[in-house]
Amino acid sequence: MFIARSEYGKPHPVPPMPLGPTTFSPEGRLFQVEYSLEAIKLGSTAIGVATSEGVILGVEKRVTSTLLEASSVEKIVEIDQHIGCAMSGLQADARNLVEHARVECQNHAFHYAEPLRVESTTQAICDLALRFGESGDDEESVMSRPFGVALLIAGHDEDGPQLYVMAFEHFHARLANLCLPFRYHAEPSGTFYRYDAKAIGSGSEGAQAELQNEYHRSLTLAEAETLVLKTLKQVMEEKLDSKNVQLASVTKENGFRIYNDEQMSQAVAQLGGNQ
Amino acid sequence: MTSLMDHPSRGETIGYSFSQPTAAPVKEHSFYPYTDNGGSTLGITGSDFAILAGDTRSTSGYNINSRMVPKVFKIGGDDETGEGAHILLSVVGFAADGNALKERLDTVVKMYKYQHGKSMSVGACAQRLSTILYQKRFFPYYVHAILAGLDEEGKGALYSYDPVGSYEREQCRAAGAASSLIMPFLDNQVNFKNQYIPGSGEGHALEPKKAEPLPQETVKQLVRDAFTSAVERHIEVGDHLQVMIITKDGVEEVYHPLKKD
Repeated sequence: MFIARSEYGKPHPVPPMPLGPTTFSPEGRLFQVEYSLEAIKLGSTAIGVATSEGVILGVEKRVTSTLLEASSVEKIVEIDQHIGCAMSGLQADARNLVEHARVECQNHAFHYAEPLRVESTTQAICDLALRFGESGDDEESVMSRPFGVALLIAGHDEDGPQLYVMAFEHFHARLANLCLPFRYHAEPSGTFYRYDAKAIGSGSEGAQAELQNEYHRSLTLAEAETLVLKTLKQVMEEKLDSKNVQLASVTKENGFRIYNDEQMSQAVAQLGGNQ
Repeated sequence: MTSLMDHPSRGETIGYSFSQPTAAPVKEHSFYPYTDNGGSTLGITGSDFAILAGDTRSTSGYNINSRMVPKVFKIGGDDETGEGAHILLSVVGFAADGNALKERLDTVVKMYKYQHGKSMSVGACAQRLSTILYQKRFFPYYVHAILAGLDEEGKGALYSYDPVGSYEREQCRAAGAASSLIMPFLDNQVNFKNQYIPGSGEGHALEPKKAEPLPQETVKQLVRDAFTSAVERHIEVGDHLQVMIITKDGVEEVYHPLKKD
């Protein structure tokens, strides 16, 4: 129970409660949340660019061994026909969030005979992301720590193509020393923002700067594809090829499409030709 | 019914001298959770409007509970008066269930707006109403519901339901006590069933008259005629006719008198 003192000022016999993930430190910080953002810092780079024609997602795959089957590294996944998601951080955590989002989408389609909006899907994911430390019916904590993953959520609905980022803004801001640590502490994970173009993961600083320079509102989908690849190429340690990156697009016409081997080779070859 | 149930078993009443006193007989109790409150509803759509109407009589058997219990409701309005609503619901059958269903759908539509930042379309509401009804598949809301509004193209939309959630989009539908009196009238007058184009051929070659959306004034008159006729032949229908008309400008509600006998 709580740390309490008896009437006579003697220390209470019950030992103080160990600090849980949802307990504020005396300085008003949530350490587990901060640490989870550190975990994301270690993740591979993922980039999303939204245009009026659709959204492009791109990730580096980090093929760490020549014996590793590159196709088994799955960092862009489908949430629904009209929504896809790129991840950076702990893959297993992302699975939980993605599964939740898929269920929400299906549930909405079942109840309302219409696709779930991209913003609502993002909100659903963030709702789950904030449920760490919560107790279930059996009084056992459902999730003991915050998710160690950041997500780029790309989709298309009646409001057009959209790109959302879950839980990253303040981490990035802190890296750039743009804001005081305290502001960042006040926002645990479970927040989201809409972006025109956004990079997350280990190479996000450099990538975001590049996107800042190159992005403009009249980008075509093909140009966005090139921009994503070009930016990835700059921040990746390995030499970019069609095996160690993965692209996906979300458009009104085709919904979410993950690039197959042939399309990947074509996109990478085109990048080489452009430079 | 009650007197029969209260009767003790035969052997005990007569009490033969040689009969052994038996254990207290099992007394049967029964509770029927539903009542039919009568009344009728009716919906017709046009190219840019939908009309939903119902009488306001509430009955239990041969008794009239009230002459003023409306059956048509605005769903998802901004206040108690339903101002700002763009969906209408009519319920007929068991009034308590109808009221509960109305309250529930209203809440769902309001919550939807908070959660998704947009008004619910009639199509989405239609599917949601179906799932609400089916969720109570084994203890149903004892009502025939009709949902009305304007679709994404601004055309009148009407969805009719059975008590467990089967639904269909239609041009017109009558439900409730006098539905069997009104529906054939609508088939003929709205969908032009059994109407043929004069002189278009002989026998089977005769060409059926094609149904097309009716103007609002015609539909209003059809609704009133349907109810004045139903009131003549059905004792559970009468008192007042409540009519709601939904157009792009909003919902208009009017009451007309019906026979009170």
